[in-house]
Amino acid sequence: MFDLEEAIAKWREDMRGAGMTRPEVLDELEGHLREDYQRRLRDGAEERLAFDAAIQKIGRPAALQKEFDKIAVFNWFTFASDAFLSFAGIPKRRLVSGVNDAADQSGPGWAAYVRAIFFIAPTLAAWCLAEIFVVPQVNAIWRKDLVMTLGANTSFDHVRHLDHAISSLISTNFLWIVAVVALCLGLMEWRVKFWPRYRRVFLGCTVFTLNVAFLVSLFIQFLAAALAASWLVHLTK
Amino acid sequence: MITKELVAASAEPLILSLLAKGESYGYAIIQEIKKLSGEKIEWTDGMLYPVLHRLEDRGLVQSRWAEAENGRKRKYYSLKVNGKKALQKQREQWLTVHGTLAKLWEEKYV
Repeated sequence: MFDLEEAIAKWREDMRGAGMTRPEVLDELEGHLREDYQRRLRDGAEERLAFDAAIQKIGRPAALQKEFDKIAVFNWFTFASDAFLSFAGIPKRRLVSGVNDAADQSGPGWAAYVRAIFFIAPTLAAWCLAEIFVVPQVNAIWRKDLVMTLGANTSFDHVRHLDHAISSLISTNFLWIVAVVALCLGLMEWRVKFWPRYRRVFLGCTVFTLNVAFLVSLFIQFLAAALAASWLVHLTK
Repeated sequence: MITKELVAASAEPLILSLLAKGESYGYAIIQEIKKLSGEKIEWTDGMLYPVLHRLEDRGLVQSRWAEAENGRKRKYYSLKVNGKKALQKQREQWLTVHGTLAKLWEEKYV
């Protein structure tokens, strides 16, 4: 049995998911949708078909948002969040997977996990190799007294120390962390009803953030290695 | 059917011309344009609203919420003085284009 109010609530949710959050705009579009729906019913269409045709005629949420974006006033927060989402591989403002949106190609749930693993694997591998082969060597060289003696930048020393502490915590508990994350994701898949709608954006943003964190950590370690090497050369002279 | 580019370019003068006849709202504007064009001008319905909002931001039209005959609230748009001036300018431009094309096609086929 078709429920118009429920269908409209769902449509509004999809519109909000595409970034159309202004209630006044949604009210106006909803009024249009209702009128078109009623006209189609009068023309003899079946309820569900009339509604589907009306939402198709009003346009895809993402395309509508794009048009409204053209008249929007520039906002730094919106710009920054859009930039973050774009780098995370999430099309602009497509924060949820729209059920009524024919262009939605987010694919099955497992594909999101495969993509996430594929995108994080190279950085994670590089970080693990650095933790095994580079970091112990740097730590052996990078002694506090050496740093003080040579007048090295103490703020960088603090940053390196913090990075080393966090990296050690992760590497020593790596398997536990992986197990807890897998358990949480499993629970979300099993118990949380709205999870499939937010799965892609959550995984995308998490992978992007972790990639950035791993790369920053790698950069700090390699910078420390380069500085330590130059000090060793200085000492041998 | 009119091309997408021409539909986009003509949206503003069409809306302004229609509102010059009196206050109206989104759905009615679309139906009226469809009828007047013999169903040759086909808008994606939702695309009308960004144009209306842009016209409102530019101070060419104004809007108000009022209760419709079905009891639900509806947003009505009407032309402002600046809108009438803008329409006059656009009218001159479109008539120039139309006149030029008409002369060219007249010469070609005479």
